Amino acid sequence: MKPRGDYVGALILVAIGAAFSTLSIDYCVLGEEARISPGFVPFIAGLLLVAFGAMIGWETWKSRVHVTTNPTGEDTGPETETDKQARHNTTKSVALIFGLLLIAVILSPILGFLLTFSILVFAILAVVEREHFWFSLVISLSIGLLAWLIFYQLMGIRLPLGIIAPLIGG
Amino acid sequence: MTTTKNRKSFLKTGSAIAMACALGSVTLANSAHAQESSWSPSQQVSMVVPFKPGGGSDTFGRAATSGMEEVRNNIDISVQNIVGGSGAVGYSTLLQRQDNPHYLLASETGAAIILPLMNDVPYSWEKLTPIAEVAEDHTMIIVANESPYKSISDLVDAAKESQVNIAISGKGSPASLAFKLIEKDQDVSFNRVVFESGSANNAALLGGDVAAAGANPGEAIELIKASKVRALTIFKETRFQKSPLADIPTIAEAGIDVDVTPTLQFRGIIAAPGLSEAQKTYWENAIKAWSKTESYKTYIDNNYLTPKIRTGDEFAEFLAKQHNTISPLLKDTD
Amino acid sequence: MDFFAHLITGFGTALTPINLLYCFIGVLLGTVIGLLPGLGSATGVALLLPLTLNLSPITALIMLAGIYYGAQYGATITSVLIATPGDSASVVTAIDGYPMARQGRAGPALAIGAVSSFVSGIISLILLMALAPFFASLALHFGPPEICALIVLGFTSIVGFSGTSRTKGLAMASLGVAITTIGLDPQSGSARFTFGFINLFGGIGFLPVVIGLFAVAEVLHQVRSGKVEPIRTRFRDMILKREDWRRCRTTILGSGLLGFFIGVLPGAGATLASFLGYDLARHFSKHKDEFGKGAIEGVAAPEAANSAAVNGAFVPTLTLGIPGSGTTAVLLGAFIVFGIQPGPLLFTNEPDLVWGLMCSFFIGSVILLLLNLPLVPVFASLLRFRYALIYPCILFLSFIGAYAIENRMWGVWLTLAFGIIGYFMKRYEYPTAPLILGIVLGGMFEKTLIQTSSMGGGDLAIFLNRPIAMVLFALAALILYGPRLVRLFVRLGHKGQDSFSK
Repeated sequence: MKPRGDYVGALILVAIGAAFSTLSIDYCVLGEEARISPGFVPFIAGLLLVAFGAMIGWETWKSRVHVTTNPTGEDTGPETETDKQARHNTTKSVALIFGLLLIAVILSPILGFLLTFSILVFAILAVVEREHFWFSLVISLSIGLLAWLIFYQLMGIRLPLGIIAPLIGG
Repeated sequence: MTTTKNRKSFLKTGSAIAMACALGSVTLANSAHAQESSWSPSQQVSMVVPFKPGGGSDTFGRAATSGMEEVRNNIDISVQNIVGGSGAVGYSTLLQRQDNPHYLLASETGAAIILPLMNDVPYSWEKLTPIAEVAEDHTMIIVANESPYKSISDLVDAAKESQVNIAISGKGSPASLAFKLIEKDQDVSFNRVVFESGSANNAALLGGDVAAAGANPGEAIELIKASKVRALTIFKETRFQKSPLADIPTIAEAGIDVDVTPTLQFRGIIAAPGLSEAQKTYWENAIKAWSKTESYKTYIDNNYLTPKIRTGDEFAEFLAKQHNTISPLLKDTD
Repeated sequence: MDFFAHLITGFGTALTPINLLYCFIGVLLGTVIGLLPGLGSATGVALLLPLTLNLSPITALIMLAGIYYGAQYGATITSVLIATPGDSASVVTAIDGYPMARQGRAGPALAIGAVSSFVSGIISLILLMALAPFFASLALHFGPPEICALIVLGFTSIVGFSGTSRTKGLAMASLGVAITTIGLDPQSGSARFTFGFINLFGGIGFLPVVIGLFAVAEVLHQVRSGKVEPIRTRFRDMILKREDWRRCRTTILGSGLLGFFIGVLPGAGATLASFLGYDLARHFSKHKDEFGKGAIEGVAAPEAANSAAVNGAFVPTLTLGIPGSGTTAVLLGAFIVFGIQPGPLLFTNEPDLVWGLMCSFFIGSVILLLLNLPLVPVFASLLRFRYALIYPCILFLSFIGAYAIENRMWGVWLTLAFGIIGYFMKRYEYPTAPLILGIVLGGMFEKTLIQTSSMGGGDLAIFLNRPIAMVLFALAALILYGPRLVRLFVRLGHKGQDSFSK
């Protein structure tokens, strides 16, 4: 699991680096009189990224013998069935939270920022963490109200109001 | 009741009751209508400032906001700093508010005219609704007090012989264009070192890293008063009235006969695309009314600007003129 | 003496009941703002500026300075408790502060943060008051080549922030530098890597990245690990022990002085100060291996450095009218709004205002300490809540903060994206701090490098004529290769005498 992740990571870094270096040639790396130009720093940073990415891959390859014979770090020892189940559940929670966040970010310009994110807090509490319905509602409403007082009233930050705009005269 | 006032009462009492009252009065204020124009804002207005808090645009946006609130007692304007891309993000946001009269933008030459000339951005000032020019800022060329250069011709002579470093903020900044005008007229070239702001230019000048720098009067005035820097010339048709700025020769007096239009930095208000005549008139009148107040004078004096009110078509003509004079200069720079 | 006469008028101004009151309000509001992710001192001062317009200039400026101070400490609190730095200068504090909190030592971490900010703040204030003109003229010797060399020196600290894998740290720092080049380059005025997207013109802001990598990623990571227990600590574990203080004394002094000097330099700022202050402390610590795992010096050092840098930033601001940091730039804007022209003549023309302001920094620091030390156990007790209740609120505040930075959804999207990136980085043990360091330093590095190159007409040999820059480069080389050389010499020395002993 771990070494495979490292290979993927290394590959991503090499790809990003190569992209930066290639594209930066268009922005001119060295100008007239060998002046440092807008392309220079991204070109060098890209090259370094390729180099270090490759090194990460190489180091993983070199240490693969150790990993198979002597697993270290997170994956120490054989996982029991219950451990595996728990890990599976929490990974599912992470995916669920990410999904909810994505939906919230998409919806917030439409429904209004505070409303959407208050619903998000409620959803995480009630669905992901399985808290009591009323309890989740109270928490999400109070954090929404607090944020409205601090951000909207005290600091005058104009969060998108969306459909609730007419309700508070904004 | 404005937001600022809301927030002040919030600060003073900190109580929910005061806030409830304040909210009530906002709704009341909205139902009242403005007196002189057939249109008036029906909801909260946003003043987009496309730069960070604390800079010249921010100061202008906030001054214009409180100024218009002062002369139109039933409007509520909130300042929004929509920052990024040297102003491009703020202007593009405004562009997306087609037909919405409740969006204004604190505009200046750099992002309104120069940026679209240098880059492929979705907006240009022609696509937006120019409301009014409010003030003009001028470009000066300054040197450190102990500098051997006593006049622009000294600086030009030096540049003919060897490399002369100058500090400017941005390749397309008014100062860069001012030097460009001199370069074209005198057939010399200066070595540009680009810094991020006027104060960084000053630091480089005082530290001896550059021979000369471009600056606005407001950026350099205190250094001039303290005899840390001297201004060689100002790109302005006539001299300032008051000392010490009155001692600075204009560029024409310095023997360089150029049109100063490209080096001016206007400060003005631009609105979203597609405003009706009535809506335009409302905002134009609000700016005109502000320009007669003490707070306008204070804003101009504090920032060493030149008062200049141009509204509607007159403002659009000025923008077009600036656009047409800057465009060839930028092409030369590349 | 002139100095003491000024000091007396200064304290006379700062200690009037009304100014004391507004200083207190400022500190309190600042702390609240600092607690919110993404809202640092610069934003706080700018947003609350309109509230002060009806006050007299000195009272208003005192209140704004109070906000500045309060925001710094508020940011520390969230860095330590929930690994969510309120602003860039407190990112480093989270590196050791958060592990301390997870070990049940949130109390001492917060207390040492407050105390070290206070101590280095007072020392640097004395330097500011007594020697401001001297430091200002010194700072002017730091032109683009010198700042560039200083940043190279800053890059050497990547090694110290890399955790288990140096290569991964270097890769992350390169990525950080590459990220800073996205957007409209203010120098050349050309757009890079924007592909026609207007949002990319603004580049990838630093704060959304920080909120994403730290706050959001940490939440997702903790949810995955699934074993976050509420932390119950006894009251006596919450207070600072004599031993803690002894460990941090020299650190505070060293990092504080370093931070002050970096703060004085135009544009370098408190964030760089906190990174270098931390690295300095690590180099000279007897507990090197504890760094990154909850060393108390790891909290004291960046806090001492960044609060000293905050005061240092006032040196060029007050003596020359050239802002030393983002927040002082906003404060300079405030000066102008109040009709005060900041510049070299400020000290002579407005002595009451300048000395009153500087004395109010003293009083603000004292108020901050008095306000926050008793509250340390209260804040630390927040961790007693179940994590399931805390983290939805962290997410909520993080995303609002991300919106508020630039008033647009783009920051929110970036935060979400970097939250995911940060989650996988944590999972595969890629260190986050070097990425942040790369972003902090990358922009400044490119800017000063291009300026240096233009100053030399394309010839970088200009560095050779700049002694300060050469010293800084030498220092950087020493930090990188010094330990290796020392080891080499030690080995050579041993070889001759007894090759058996080790």
